[in-house]
Amino acid sequence: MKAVTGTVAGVAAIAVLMATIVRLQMVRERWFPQSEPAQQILYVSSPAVLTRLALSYDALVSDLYWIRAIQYYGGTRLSERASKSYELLYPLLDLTTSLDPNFNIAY
Amino acid sequence: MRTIGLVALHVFRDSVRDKVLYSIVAFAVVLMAVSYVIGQLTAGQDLKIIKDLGLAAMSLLGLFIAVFIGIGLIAREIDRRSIYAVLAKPVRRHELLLGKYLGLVGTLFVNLAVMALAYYAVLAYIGATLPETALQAAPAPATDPRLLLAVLMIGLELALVTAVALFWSTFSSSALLSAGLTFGLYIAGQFGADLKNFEQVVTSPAAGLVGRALYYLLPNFAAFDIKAEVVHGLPIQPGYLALTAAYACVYIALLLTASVMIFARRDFK
Repeated sequence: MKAVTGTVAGVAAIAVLMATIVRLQMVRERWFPQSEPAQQILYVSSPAVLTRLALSYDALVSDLYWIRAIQYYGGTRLSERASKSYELLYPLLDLTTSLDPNFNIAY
Repeated sequence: MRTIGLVALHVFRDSVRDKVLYSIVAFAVVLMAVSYVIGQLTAGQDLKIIKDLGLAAMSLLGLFIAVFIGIGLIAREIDRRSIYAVLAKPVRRHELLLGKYLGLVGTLFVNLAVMALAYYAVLAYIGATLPETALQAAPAPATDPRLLLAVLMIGLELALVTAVALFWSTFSSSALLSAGLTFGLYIAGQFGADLKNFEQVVTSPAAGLVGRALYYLLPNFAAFDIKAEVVHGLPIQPGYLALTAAYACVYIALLLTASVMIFARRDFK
């Protein structure tokens, strides 16, 4: 019986603490609004470096960059910004095709 | 021979008790969740991406199992002092070592086989839901039997990684060091092409020679990677597979021989 009450109290405490964390975060964001997320950055832009970083998982990393390229194109196209430039599109697709040279649709 | 089999069986049971096979559940859950989401992100490339992801996940999960269980096979017995009890029985040291190795490799292959089943189930589901035109545009069918070749190569690679892990753990008493050395060798083995062409980068012929020597001496893990070729439906020569398999077997034999020699001389205080 004692063990059961202990468990219930523990679970309740965890739930209360978790709710407090969420609440605190919300209050902080209301008082100190976050600035707009920064412009998209490409951290690694050299295909030679990325091919080595990917070890034997080139194809999977290439898929990731393919998804990123599609999201980047779609996101920029639908964005409200006045100047729409696609300057990251070429490097993203370049990385995709360098990592997986047989990824024909990306060319 | 019978002793080796018994030790191997024990390792297999032990890894089941250690919940190693839960990795299969993780694999299946990830693959199914991703296959559900991926169609909305990829502009019609879902089949290729699921294939890539499945093969990469099999290889990565297997790599972690091979390294982290492989380094503990002998070290844990010494830590728990159960090695005295085992070696007091009529078990010779090399039988213990080979049994441990075969047990873990068996676990890895069972693991891969079940993962391959889940993989084909997900691929069959994707193949059934995709429109006819998308399937015809793909370079290989959804449930391509050639994917098994890539799985087999992953299995051979993992067997080699296990042998490397076991080799380090026969003389290093720190698990962290063994894990680091195994991962280091795995990563070095991915850079074979760079080592081979090292002489084009440096001016000193001696340094080029060292690079070339390292290329031939270090295990060349990059050779086992046929994932991209299989997914794109490119031809793979049977001779290439046979030579790579032979390479793995000979390298494993070399590592096991060295491990047995070191382990036979090791002194347990």
